Amino acid sequence: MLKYIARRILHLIPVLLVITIILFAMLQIMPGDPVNAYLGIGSNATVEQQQQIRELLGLDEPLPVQYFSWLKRSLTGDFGTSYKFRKPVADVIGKYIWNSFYLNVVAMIFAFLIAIPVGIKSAVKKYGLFDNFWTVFSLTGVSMPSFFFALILIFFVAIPSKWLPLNGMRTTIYLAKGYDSFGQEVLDVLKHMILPVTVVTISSLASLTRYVRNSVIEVINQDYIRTARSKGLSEKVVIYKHAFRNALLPIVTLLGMYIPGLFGGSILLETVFIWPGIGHVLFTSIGDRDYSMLMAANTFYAILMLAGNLLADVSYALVDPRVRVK
Amino acid sequence: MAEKKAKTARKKRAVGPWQIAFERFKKNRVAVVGASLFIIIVLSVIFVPMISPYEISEFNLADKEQAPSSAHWLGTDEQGRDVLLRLFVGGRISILVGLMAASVSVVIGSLVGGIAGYYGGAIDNFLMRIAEIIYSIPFTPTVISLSAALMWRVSSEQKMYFVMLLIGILSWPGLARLVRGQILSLREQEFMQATEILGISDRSKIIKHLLPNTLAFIIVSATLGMAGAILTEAGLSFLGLGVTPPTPTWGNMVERARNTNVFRNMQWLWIPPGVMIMLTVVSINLLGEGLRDAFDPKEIR
Repeated sequence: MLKYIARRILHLIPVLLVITIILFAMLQIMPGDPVNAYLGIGSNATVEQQQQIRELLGLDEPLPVQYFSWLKRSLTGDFGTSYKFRKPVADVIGKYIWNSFYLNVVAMIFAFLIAIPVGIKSAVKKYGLFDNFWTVFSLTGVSMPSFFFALILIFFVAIPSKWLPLNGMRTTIYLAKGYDSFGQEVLDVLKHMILPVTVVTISSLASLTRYVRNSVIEVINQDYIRTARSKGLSEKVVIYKHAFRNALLPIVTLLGMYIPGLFGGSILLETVFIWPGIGHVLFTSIGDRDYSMLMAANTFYAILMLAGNLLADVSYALVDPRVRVK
Repeated sequence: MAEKKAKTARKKRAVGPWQIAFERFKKNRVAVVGASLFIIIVLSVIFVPMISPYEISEFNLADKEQAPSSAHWLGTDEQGRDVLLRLFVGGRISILVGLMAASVSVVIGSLVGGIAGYYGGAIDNFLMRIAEIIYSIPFTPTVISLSAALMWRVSSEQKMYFVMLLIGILSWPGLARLVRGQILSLREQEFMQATEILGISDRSKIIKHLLPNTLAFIIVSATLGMAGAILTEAGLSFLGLGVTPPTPTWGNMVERARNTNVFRNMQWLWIPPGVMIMLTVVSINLLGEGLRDAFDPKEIR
């Protein structure tokens, strides 16, 4: 098993390298001069000073040299300095991923808590009223543009309620004077989380219920379930003890795949809700021409994606030994 | 029930798999509703702009920011343009971008999958490695960064073509894997041995004999891919990184809601395009799911 994991990781290294080269090339064709971005708007630096900064940032080197020096520094954990935050990029990412994580983890807990019972019930009474309702629900959930759903919730729920915040993560007054207690801070953040969590939950619920339903249906069609039924076991025991336990394997696999994704925020949602997560940082760093930040954030998303795929493969291999032999 | 009828139908006269699929599709009420809704949307985006009394380039500052009325059913925007007309012209572009993006992805995906599956060996390894790399690229951040990187070189009218290509080029690997898997199993079947004996060229073996057998998968994947592409374009345009005004699309019409005044006081500008995106994507998804069930060989036999 360890050999299999090691092989998979080795396999991912060239993939990640090629992705970073593509990302690096992408930055080179972006408009604007990073030196100007570094100086900020309204600077009156002379041409010589600009040249000095260019040399300081290593921007006068040929591109391959720049890429390899980026790669070498990145491997030691140094992703450069964010022009906008004036802080090491790694620190900025390290801070903002947690905001995305809080949002996603709460949404994921809700989504799994709802999807598992709903999926089982839909599978047991396939094409019944309950199943059909959730089929329509999933389809609408998948088809709803998340940003539009968010706008609708803000407009029809948050504004009339006069209590739910429209966006952000903390109330402005507290940002200025600080919280009185930790409990107050938690409550304030939770209040701001209600709407974004609703949107993320519903959009992940849509595919999740279908997934649980289909894996339970697949198990129910197996011979051993027929055996269990013909033994005269009660339907409850058949479903929960025999069917669900086996259907749990693909669901756990899916859970593993979800974990890395929890650290990557949705760019659209975080933009609509002005939620200070990594997706929002990535989007604003495009406008700010914050190149080191953009490069690191994109690489970070790529690593999350690869880690998700890796976890999926590894957990499949754990569940199904045949995969490992290949 | 549907299976029984299909069986008896086959006994009576020779019914091809396509007819069986069509019969099965017709019996699926939800899928028919989806297909009809989609046809209505397509027809209305084609014809409504033709019968509208307004012109797309026409603006009238005296009539700006009007609420819906009998003259302007969905009101006017900040330049006095008719929102209803813009909604349907925008629909043309959104649907066209979705259609073309899905086509790009289907052409690349089925060719790459077909070639990789047919030749195997080093070619297969190489092509599938490329597919894996593109598959591992985080889609949304990359699309957003790439648009930002390239958009400034492209004029407003050309942006829609650019967005189509971008979405298409990044979304083919899923289909390529699917087609490759299918081809691998088809290659072993007897009719392929027959083509071998007949000495048919590789090219026509792939295009004439192998790909048609994977057509059901390709059609389903194209339909669902189109729904996804419409959503992606809407998201990109909402962020200001897709198709930009004056060319209207549903995404950049919803984008107006990022202005607080429009968001709070002029809902006729941003709610209708959002609803249209949803209706269109729901109808295409229903159609796609219906096609998938209709083609599913497990249920035919």
